[in-house]
Amino acid sequence: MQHETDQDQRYAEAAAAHGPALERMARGYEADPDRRRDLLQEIHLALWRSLAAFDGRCSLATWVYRVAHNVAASHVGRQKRLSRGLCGVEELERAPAPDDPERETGERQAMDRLMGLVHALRPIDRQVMLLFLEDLPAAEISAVTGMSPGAVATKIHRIKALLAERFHGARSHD
Amino acid sequence: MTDDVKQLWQSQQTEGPALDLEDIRRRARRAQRVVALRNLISYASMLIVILGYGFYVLALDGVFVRLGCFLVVLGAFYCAISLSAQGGSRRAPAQAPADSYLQFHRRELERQRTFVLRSVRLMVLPITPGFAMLLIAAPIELQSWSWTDSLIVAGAFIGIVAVSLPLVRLRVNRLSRMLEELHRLGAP
Repeated sequence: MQHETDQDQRYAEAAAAHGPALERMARGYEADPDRRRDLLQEIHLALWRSLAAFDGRCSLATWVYRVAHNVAASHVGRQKRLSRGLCGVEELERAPAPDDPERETGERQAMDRLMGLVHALRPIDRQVMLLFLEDLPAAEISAVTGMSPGAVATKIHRIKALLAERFHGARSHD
Repeated sequence: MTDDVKQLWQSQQTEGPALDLEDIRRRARRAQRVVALRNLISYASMLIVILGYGFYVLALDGVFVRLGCFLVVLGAFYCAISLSAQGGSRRAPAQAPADSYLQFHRRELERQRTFVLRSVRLMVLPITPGFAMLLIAAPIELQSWSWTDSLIVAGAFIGIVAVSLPLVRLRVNRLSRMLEELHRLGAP
């Protein structure tokens, strides 16, 4: 009973602290609203279950992000047809920005463009991008993903360049 | 610049808690029932094969036909036990979902690769001796079964295996490439 209470308490703490971030993350992995709702519920279920075995090997935040991203990346992997078209940050850097004669303005369009960029990424790059957007430091991104600090630093550098190019370019046409 | 994008991302409106604790417990129980049902269906399928060939052991004439059926039953038992053992090793430790992405997916890919590599040994080889004996003995001991019938069945079996093996090899190669990529990402 005590064990169950600890698990419930940890889950309540995790959901309170990271619930909004998990919801944003689910949007980053699934565009369809119904499937996204299912994904978010799957994440919360996996998180609650996993917290029964929380052993303090990492911070609660790192644990939460790991569980959430693993569940979400598995979800993307199951959508096999969609995942064939996904690419890495490096490929997006080389691709020209979409040539839209009607230049996008406004927060809504910028958000749509950002989401489109995120959805084009394969799981490991998407994970780094989403954690970067949540303002996690590189060291924590490395802890969540298991990537080496060097690999994380390279990805972040490319993400910054990509975002600057895709979003700065639109602003200069406003 | 990127701070603006981060702010844009974090300013998204969120809907609030996806589930309460009671909902989560209910879903956890439902998920366990789904897994139990899936296992039950697998074992039921194996049981049907065992009962079917078990019936033939008793009902058919011919020593070697009966022996062939008995060997198929033994092979099916071995498949069931091996798959059950595979299922046990497939269950990740409770804290596995909280492994880093690389650890989690490396384990999943390795599990899939092992399963695919062993699939022929686990599912085809155990029943092959009994099946071969049946195909050879049936035309000799059973009036209703001809050599042509045995050749057709043997040809179909070999054809299915011949088509499956390259696909198995392709899948194993693809999984190995994915594992190498994960290994490169994790290397210091």
